[in-house]
Parts: sequence; structure tokens; C-alpha cells
Amino acid sequence: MRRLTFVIMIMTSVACLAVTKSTTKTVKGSAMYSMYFPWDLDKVTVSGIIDGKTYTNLELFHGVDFICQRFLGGTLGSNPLPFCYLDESTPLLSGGYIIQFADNYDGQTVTFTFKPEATGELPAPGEAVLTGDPDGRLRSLKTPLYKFDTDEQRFEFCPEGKIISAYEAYISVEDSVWMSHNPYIVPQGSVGIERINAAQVLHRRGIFNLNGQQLAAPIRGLNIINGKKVFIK
Amino acid sequence: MKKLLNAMAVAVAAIIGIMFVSCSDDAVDEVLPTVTRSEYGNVNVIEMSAPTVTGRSVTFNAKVLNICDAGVKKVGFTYSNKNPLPEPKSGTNSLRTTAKLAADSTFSSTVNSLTEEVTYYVRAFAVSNNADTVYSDIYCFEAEVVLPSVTTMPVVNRARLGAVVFGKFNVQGTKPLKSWGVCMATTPLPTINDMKEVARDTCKISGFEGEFGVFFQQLTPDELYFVRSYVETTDGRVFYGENRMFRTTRGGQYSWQWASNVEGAKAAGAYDRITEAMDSASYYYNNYSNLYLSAHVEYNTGVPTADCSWGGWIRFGSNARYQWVGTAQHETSHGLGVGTAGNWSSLCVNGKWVKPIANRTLRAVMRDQSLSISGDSQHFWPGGINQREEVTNGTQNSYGESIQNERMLRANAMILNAMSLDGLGGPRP
Repeated sequence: MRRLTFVIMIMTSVACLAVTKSTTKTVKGSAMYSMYFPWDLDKVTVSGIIDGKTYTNLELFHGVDFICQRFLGGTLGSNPLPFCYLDESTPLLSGGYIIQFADNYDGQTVTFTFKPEATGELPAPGEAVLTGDPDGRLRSLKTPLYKFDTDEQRFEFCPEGKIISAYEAYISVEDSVWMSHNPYIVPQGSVGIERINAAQVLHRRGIFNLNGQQLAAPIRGLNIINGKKVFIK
Repeated sequence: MKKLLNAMAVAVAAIIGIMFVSCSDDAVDEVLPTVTRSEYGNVNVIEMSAPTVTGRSVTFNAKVLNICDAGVKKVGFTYSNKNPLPEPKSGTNSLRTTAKLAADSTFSSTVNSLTEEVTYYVRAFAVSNNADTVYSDIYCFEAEVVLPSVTTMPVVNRARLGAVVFGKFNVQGTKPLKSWGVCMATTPLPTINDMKEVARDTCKISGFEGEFGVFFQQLTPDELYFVRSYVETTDGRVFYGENRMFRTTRGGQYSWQWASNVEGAKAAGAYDRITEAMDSASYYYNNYSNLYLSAHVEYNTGVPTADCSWGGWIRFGSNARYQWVGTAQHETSHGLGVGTAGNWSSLCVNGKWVKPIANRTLRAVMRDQSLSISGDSQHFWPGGINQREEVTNGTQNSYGESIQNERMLRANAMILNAMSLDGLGGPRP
């Protein structure tokens, strides 16, 4: 019996390791995208000619090649609901994000590869949350929601609900009265939005590995030290 | 008939009263304009329609309903932002605009350059030949405030140490502008308190209208930068375009080597000058372009100045004037396709560069949005460093500002980078 359990455990581990979950997105300059990561992000890669050089599976890094905003949500009554730029050492766990790539990757198709697990915080019920399908599938929703409009670069209120693509994040708000008074929710970076949330930019000082785990001392390879990527030989 | 006119005069007075009360204070209500003549058949009756405000301009329209026996000598409008009862004469804090009476008894006038955020009062007037002045009812209005709006354009031409960034006016608005340009930082949402470059002007050329560009130099290599275009009004308000981001590149792949007659160059004392010139050109192209070139250098006393073929075989002659960085960059541009690429003639047509990125780059580096790249079958200008003095004395823009020395050498590399982005067929790794 113990042997059987052990075998099952090994099989489960192998099965987990074998899972490669990924999605692609064609970058349109510095445009923002609303994305939902059903699982923790492993890496982002791109292949192509970028600034005169040819790359194959070039790994792109958070804070260097793209940036992310997190929707803090949960504070109904404030308008706009707060978004917050994430420090580059913040691990991109499962959950909803606003992603923005550098202009250098305009027209390139980037690949998001996920780890098998999902360790991000689950949205608390009853609050405003940036969420999506937990299994990375297309879904049709009947409840009112805010869907991201890539042309307008903002979330727009959809009273009738919408089709939500796989890996697309939408904002769910329980308070219908609040929704009726707020037709748009605008992330930072759109036209005319001042640096209202500058104080909320998360700066994590210290030494971290690329997974965002804090280290006592730098290790060989890439470290993130006080928000800067540092390579230790 | 007299009764009818009497009734009309009363009605007009009543309307004036209603209008006046609706847009002025009680004190002014005491001095409603009145018709002073007892013989109504001998006075003009004027009806004015609501003013049409567009931005800081307003158009007034009115009609003389009844022209008196004396006839009309003059018609017009009197307006004021101080006097709620404007009058067409001096000492009344009022302004006057006269108009021409049309055959159908209508007249109109337009006033520009209104002051924003103040209330104006206006009424039409007519002066009869017997010197009577009658007025219409009074309207009040305000200039339409339109705030400026700009957009940040994609950062297309970026290199290891430099980038050209463009913004564009969506709407200039009605407020007087103090400055506009692009601000930059290494954190999102830069403001004018971060690094900023003020633009000098906006482009008037069709297809580029409203654009303004700036040239950021000496940036950090391989660094993520955030940029936003901005416009600042004279009252201190700042409006930003969207937050864009770009990463400075890892630079060009420009290398060179002596390939022929190095001993001759040494014997003539040209070796060090040519080496320094090529090293300098290599620096500018590696830092202000992302271009590839593997140049081969020959010292050839039969060459009067210097020349270069597509791909980068550069020949320097014996004249020391041409053994310097500007010449090296000029010849490098031939190696990269200027006048030598198979598609040069399709990009430089009828003496003009026809693609946008290089033209935009030129305007930004030269701080002059009226410029475009000119060229012939072999060269381009400005920015082509066709003469040493274009760098040492500088190249003047239409404002009389001289772009010179390092900025001009960097500009040359950025323009070549832009020409490559526009499709110029240069060498590839």
C-alpha cells in the first residue's frame, strides 16, 4: 500500500512537471493589456529581430522589458479604483494584472509560460477584484462586469456581461449601485492620468532571486538587489 | 398699426427684462434699455439671436425688424466683460464692432480672442440718421474653454545612448501655452519635474501636423525609460499624453579594420588620424544607432578626399582635412546604403526622402519641425556631414540655431538608424 502511494506520488509529480501551460500575445507598442494568469508566471519569451539583432527565445524580464500593475480593488467609493505599479522583484503569481511592454517589442509575439501551480491570493468575495477564468478558458458571463477596451485603454462597464477570452482579466464588482455611477475604471498610464498613485509603487528593498524570493546574500547569476537586476559572476 | 407697434415694443421690453434678469445681478436690472421716442413708427426695432461661441471666438447675429422713417445710419454690436449694459461709446468699459446691414436687414459680426472664464454682455445697436440709438435685448456668454491634449507617439528610433521621442497635439485648446515637449524617467508616469526636453515648435507639414519631437542623449544603455508628452499652459496647468516605455538598446555592431596600405598611412603620418576618425565613427554608430557594419579601411593617395562602397570599403586620401570623424561617418553612411543601396532611389525621390522615420528624426535632432531630408543620387542633407563645417561651425535650422559638434555627429548616426528603419537596404549581420 505504501509502495502504491509512493508510485502515485511519483506519477503525480511527473504529471505536474510535464504540464506546460502557455499563451501568446502580439505586442502593440506600449499598449496595456489586461491579463489573468491562472497559474504563476514562469517566464516571458520572444523570438525575432529586435533593434537590429536576431533573438531566439529571448527571455523578457519584469521591470526591464515589461511592467505590471496590480488592481488593489476592494475600496469602493474611491474613483478611480486604485491601480499600483509593481516593483520588478514582485513575483508574478496567479492573478490579474495590467501588462505593458516596451515599444521595442512592437509587433512581436511574446509567449507567457506558466508554472504548474497557482499560488496567488484568491479574490475575496464581495469586493472589487481583477479576475479571470482559473483554468485559462474562454468564458461567457451574464453578470455585469468591467471589460478592458484595448483601444480606449480602460475598463468599461458592461451591464449585460461579455465573452471573456482565455487569460483575459476583467473587473468584477458586487456593488451594482457603485457600478451604475462609474462607467470606466482607468489604469495608470492612460492619457491625462496624473501620478496619483506614485506613493503606492511598491519598492521592495533587499536581495531577491528571479522568483521574488528574498535571499540573505547574492547568489551566482541574476539577482534583484534593491529593485535592480544584478548579475553575479 | 400704431397699436401693433406699441405691443411689439412692450413685448421686446419684456423679453429684454427676462433675458437680463437671467444673466445679470439685481443692480443692473434697474437700468433696462428702453425706447425713448413716443412715435414708435420712427424708431428701429432690433432683434438679436443668441451668440454662437466657438472656442475664444463669438459670432453675433441680429436683424432690424422695423426701419424707422429716418433710416439706419450704422449697425453693430457692443459688448463688455465689465459693464452689464454695454454701450457703443467711450467711457463705458465697452467695446464696439460695427457691421454691414444686408438687404434683408440682417447684420452679423465675429469677435476673436475672447478672455476665458469671464462673462461677457452683448447687445446689438442701430443708429438712425437722426442720431437715435436703439438696442436689442442683452445676451450674456462666456468663451468656450477647450483644454489642450497631447498624445505620446511610439518610440521608434532608439539606440544605446539616444532616443528620438515624439508627441502630437490632439487639440491645442483655447488656453495660452507656456511650453510643450516630452518628459522622461526610469519610473512610470514621468512628470515635468523629471528629465524633460522642451520642443521648439510643431510640425505644419501635411501628414505630420501638430507633431513635436525631441532628442534625448547620453542615456543609460539597456535601461527601461518611461516617457510622456506634455503641454503646459501659462496658468501652470500641465496635461500629459499616455505613458509609453522603451528600452535603450545594446547598440550597433560597427567594427572596422585596416585592410590595405596601412604602411603607407603610417609613412604619411595619416595612420593615427584615420584610426582616431574610425574609432570615433565607431563610437557614434555603436551608441546612436543599432546598425551593423564591418568596415575595411584603405589608405589611397589617389583618392582626392575619401570614398566608400556599399558594405563599407572606405578609402581615405592623403588630404588630412578628410582624415577625421565627420568624414569617417559620412563615408560610413555610404557603406550603410546612402547613395549605394539598391533601393536608395525609391526612398529618395525627386530630391526628397519619402519615408517618415528619418524625416521625423531630422526634425527632432535639428529642433525644427519644418525640415525634411533632401537628397540626390549620392548624398543627403542636412545631417549628412557633406562638409566638415556642417559639424565644426554647425548646421543652422530655420530659427538660426546652430546644431554642431557632438550633437551633429550623434544626429548623423540617429538619422542613419532611422533610414534603416525606413527600409534603406544596408548590410546585415
